Amino acid sequence: MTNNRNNKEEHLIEKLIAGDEPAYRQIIDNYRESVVRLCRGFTGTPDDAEDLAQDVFLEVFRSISRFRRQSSISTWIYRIAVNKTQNFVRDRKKRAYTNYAPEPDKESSEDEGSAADKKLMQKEHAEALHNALESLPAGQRTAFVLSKYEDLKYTEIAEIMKISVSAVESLLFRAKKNLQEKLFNYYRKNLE
Amino acid sequence: MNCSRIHKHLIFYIEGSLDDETVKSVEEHLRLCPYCTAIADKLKLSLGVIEQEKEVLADIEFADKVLIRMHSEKRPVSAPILSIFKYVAAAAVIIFGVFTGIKLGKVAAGSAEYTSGALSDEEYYLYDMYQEPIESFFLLNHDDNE
Repeated sequence: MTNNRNNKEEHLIEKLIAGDEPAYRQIIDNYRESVVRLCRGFTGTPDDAEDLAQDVFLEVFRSISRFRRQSSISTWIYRIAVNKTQNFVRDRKKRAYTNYAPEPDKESSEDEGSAADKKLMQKEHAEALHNALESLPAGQRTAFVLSKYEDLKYTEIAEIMKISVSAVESLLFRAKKNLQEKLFNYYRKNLE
Repeated sequence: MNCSRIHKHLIFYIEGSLDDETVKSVEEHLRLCPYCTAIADKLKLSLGVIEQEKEVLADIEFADKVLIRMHSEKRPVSAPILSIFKYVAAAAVIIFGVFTGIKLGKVAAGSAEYTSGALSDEEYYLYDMYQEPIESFFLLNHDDNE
């Protein structure tokens, strides 16, 4: 079964290297949701996530000939996505982007009564979460996003981040502790 | 359990990763403490954002957008040729500079033609004494005074 999957993956990689467009589309089809989700976790905004996801696939297609096949293609794509999003967050911080200001979701056109209040509340909580996430050290943030947004197992996260499983456990524990502290401080100020 | 201890456990309580005994203590405290309950509710809502953001909407144009970008970025295939041309142009400028330098050097050092007084048109313009007759005039006058 695994051999069959490996053969299929190998075949797909060969097609990608040859510049086969249906193969490009298949890769996008297989991994778009995961990549967009991951980008959303890191950036916090749907538009940035979409742009970044496009960048990730462009990078995948451009560098497929350099893929050494020491891991599965999904791990390799996750690595590219993590690198791209880390760079994006770092650049955003450099541009003195101190406060995360989420853009409204495109589908949020209802602007009356409780629906609007709900959206506003949701926006506030999203803002609190992403501000807290952005303030985490890169390793903790990566482990947290891979775990919570992609529901990946510790072993998968370890492979993507090229660290041990125990290091992933430790990163996740510290990430949650720090997140809790930051969110607690944020809400305490609001409640006072 | 006091409030500060509860706060340390809240995220794990919401996540459902605490042991039964700790869960019991946290719930007991939350029943009696409206402040911690309010914090726990807000924390729950913030972490709930993750579940909402995990939903990725279908985008039938996504692949097209990526492929269009890829093709548009591929188009300047002449880029390597351009970069080669850049080096060739730089080399030509350097060769021209060296050649001109040698030529000028010869003139400045006073070539055989100059000492014999037979200056070419080109050398005439490069030899600045001929371009500044006033200066030469004063120099000559100075010699006369001596």
